[in-house]
Amino acid sequence: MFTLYRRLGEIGLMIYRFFLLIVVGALFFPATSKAFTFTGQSRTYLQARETISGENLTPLYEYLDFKIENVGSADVSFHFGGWARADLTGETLGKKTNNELQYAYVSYRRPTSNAIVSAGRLYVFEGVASEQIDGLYTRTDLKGAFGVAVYGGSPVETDVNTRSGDSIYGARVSYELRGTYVVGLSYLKEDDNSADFREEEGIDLWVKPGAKVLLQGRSWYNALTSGWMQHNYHLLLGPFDKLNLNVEGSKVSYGDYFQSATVSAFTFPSIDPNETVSAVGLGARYTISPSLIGIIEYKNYEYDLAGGADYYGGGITYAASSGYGAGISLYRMDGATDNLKYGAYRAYIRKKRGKTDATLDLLHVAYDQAISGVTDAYTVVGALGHDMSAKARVVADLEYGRNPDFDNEVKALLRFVYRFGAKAR
Amino acid sequence: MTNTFIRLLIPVLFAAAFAGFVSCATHTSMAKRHPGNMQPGQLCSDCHTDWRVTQNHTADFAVRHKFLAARQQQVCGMCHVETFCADCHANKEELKPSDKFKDAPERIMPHRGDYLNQHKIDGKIDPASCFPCHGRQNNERCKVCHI
Ligand code: HEC
Ligand code: HEC
Ligand code: HEC
Ligand code: HEC
Ligand code: HEC
Repeated sequence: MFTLYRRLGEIGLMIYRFFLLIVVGALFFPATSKAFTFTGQSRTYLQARETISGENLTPLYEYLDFKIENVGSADVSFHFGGWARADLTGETLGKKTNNELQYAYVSYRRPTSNAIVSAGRLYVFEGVASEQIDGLYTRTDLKGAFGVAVYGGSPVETDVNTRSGDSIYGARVSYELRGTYVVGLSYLKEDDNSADFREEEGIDLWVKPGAKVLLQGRSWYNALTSGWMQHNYHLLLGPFDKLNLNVEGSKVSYGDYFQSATVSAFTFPSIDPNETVSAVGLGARYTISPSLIGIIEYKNYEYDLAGGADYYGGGITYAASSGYGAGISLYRMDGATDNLKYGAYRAYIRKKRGKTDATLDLLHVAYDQAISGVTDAYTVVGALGHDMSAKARVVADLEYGRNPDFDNEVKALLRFVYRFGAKAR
Repeated sequence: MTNTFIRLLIPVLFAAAFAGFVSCATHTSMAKRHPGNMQPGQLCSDCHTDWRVTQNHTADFAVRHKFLAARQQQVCGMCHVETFCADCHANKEELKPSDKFKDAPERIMPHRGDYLNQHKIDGKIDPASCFPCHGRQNNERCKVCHI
């Protein structure tokens, strides 16, 4: 009976094609085409860089995204995002060209109850799911403050095997008392070639018991290993005059959390399945003045097996309406052994004047233990931007680096952004 | 078994979702586009006083936005198109997010500067934080060394 879900991808594709046909068809109908809104953005990047082996790369990237909305009288829309790359010299990651379809879906929204149906390649962020799928997604508010989201199709992930016959499906049910709390229960199932690959269940929480308290969090359970993957809770307190505080606690059980990894950096035994990490973080943000903000942070990691670690530091940022912006930050990572310790320091300054802006960014990472005989990594970034019009912007930047891999590393990037239709971010 | 139960529940939820479409709740959907003109650097609390202030994009938002993303389709989507998220959350992305926004030093970007060396430490201390972005996708580059 569950072959049904494998079909969802195909059903999604059918619906997607059907709506796409309508959208494209309607575009050519003068009577309806007036009603369209077409907005989007083109981003072109030309990068020049050198690889560790000394090869010069100049990849040219084109990122395109757009949406066509208000097709006909119903609220039907088409959304697209993707990029393509061609190398003018060298080969990036062993390929002269590459491309990615990030999303392409049709969507129908109802004017009431936040009801949406989407079909095609799309992102799903629903509780345990933060996925890219080829398939079908639908959500709606129900009576009595309940909400439901359901999706199914095939997963879009790095190929590990032929992965034919993959499927992914799941749902999230939520109950919301607007402004007070939201509780969500979610479920996700992914099959790899009809074999169980992931089966995850989750609880997510958003609670605002008082004006100055917000608790957010989530717990994910791995039904295949029968163990909790992670608990992650975040408490936000404030503002108390100019002070805001946050406390974060998390616990991750590696054996349950990394079970479905497909890259060797995260598979066992590179990751120890018996390890568990508990982390506690504390942070304070102080608004010295509306344009001047100070932050201090501390995070402690305790492991069942390995030695613990501390990460702490802080910084000050300045942002003035006159167009000046600046920031400094100092952080320290104190792992159990010398090869897990570093200090990371940064200072930047930015100035916008009229249509032109300039940025200078300095970064320094100081390793306690030398990597390839080098203890310091320096990066200097300079960027110059110019708004040619409300729709077009050009930025040129140059990055100089000295680090364990390079004595002198120079990277340059030229970016041209063009927005068409109404302004979209 | 609870799992069988959940699997059986999913078609029911699908049905419920479609039923919801046809009848159920009748309140007006949220606007498609945010009605206010929010500028980068502004906070939600500059204009709102209710639940929306909890979405203030303060410096810790980089860590916190994951708790809110389940509202992506409605709330985030009023101001952000998916490409915005895809700069950091992608499958085959080749450009570091920080490389694309050198002109926005105030933004909280993962991996600024030389990260190939620093990642060996961060990845050892907290591999779970990398996993959502690199665990099953966006890891072509990793495979060069982590075969
Ligand atoms: C420059 C002022 C301004 C800022 C900053 C701002 N908003 Fe708004 N927002 C408005 C106005 C004006 C409206 C329309 C009136 C209303 O609903 O309050 C609105 C409406 C909304 C709505 C209701 C839409 C609907 O149709 O129900 C939501 C949700 C919302 N804003 C969220 C946010 C969030 C989240 C942020 C911060 C990330 C934010 N806003 C920042 C001005 C602003
Ligand atoms: C009212 C409009 C509005 C809403 C609603 C909104 N954002 Fe934003 N968001 C912005 C603006 C403006 C920026 C600054 C973009 C820039 O600097 O170019 C931003 C920046 C961000 C950033 C980057 C922060 C950084 O420092 O780089 C993230 C991540 C983000 N938003 C996520 C979300 C998520 C997730 C949601 C939904 C829960 C959301 N936003 C809802 C307006 C909004
Ligand atoms: C500037 C980079 C950046 C942008 C842009 C961005 N994110 Fe994120 N996102 C992150 C980082 C970093 C994390 C990990 C935070 C953590 O756990 O500490 C994250 C985590 C998440 C997670 C949790 C993933 C998981 O499985 O744990 C979700 C969901 C998410 N983001 C959704 C979104 C959405 C939706 C948008 C667009 C509105 C967005 N993000 C834009 C950087 C970004
Ligand atoms: C919010 C998503 C996100 C998170 C979280 C994240 N990364 Fe990345 N990372 C990216 C993106 C996007 C790129 C650029 C694409 C690429 O090079 O694969 C990247 C690139 C990299 C690179 C290549 C850098 C270079 O200079 O070529 C390394 C190494 C890396 N990440 C390691 C990590 C490690 C280790 C962690 C956890 C401590 C982590 N990442 C967390 C999104 C993320
Ligand atoms: C240029 C080679 C190189 C690339 C590319 C690379 N890594 Fe690594 N990575 C290493 C080395 C070397 C180590 C240290 C291994 C050790 O100390 O055992 C490491 C360690 C790690 C660790 C710590 C776990 C461990 O086994 O020590 C993680 C997690 C990790 N890398 C993730 C990534 C991710 C994710 C990417 C891609 C986004 C990536 N790496 C790309 C070389 C690389």
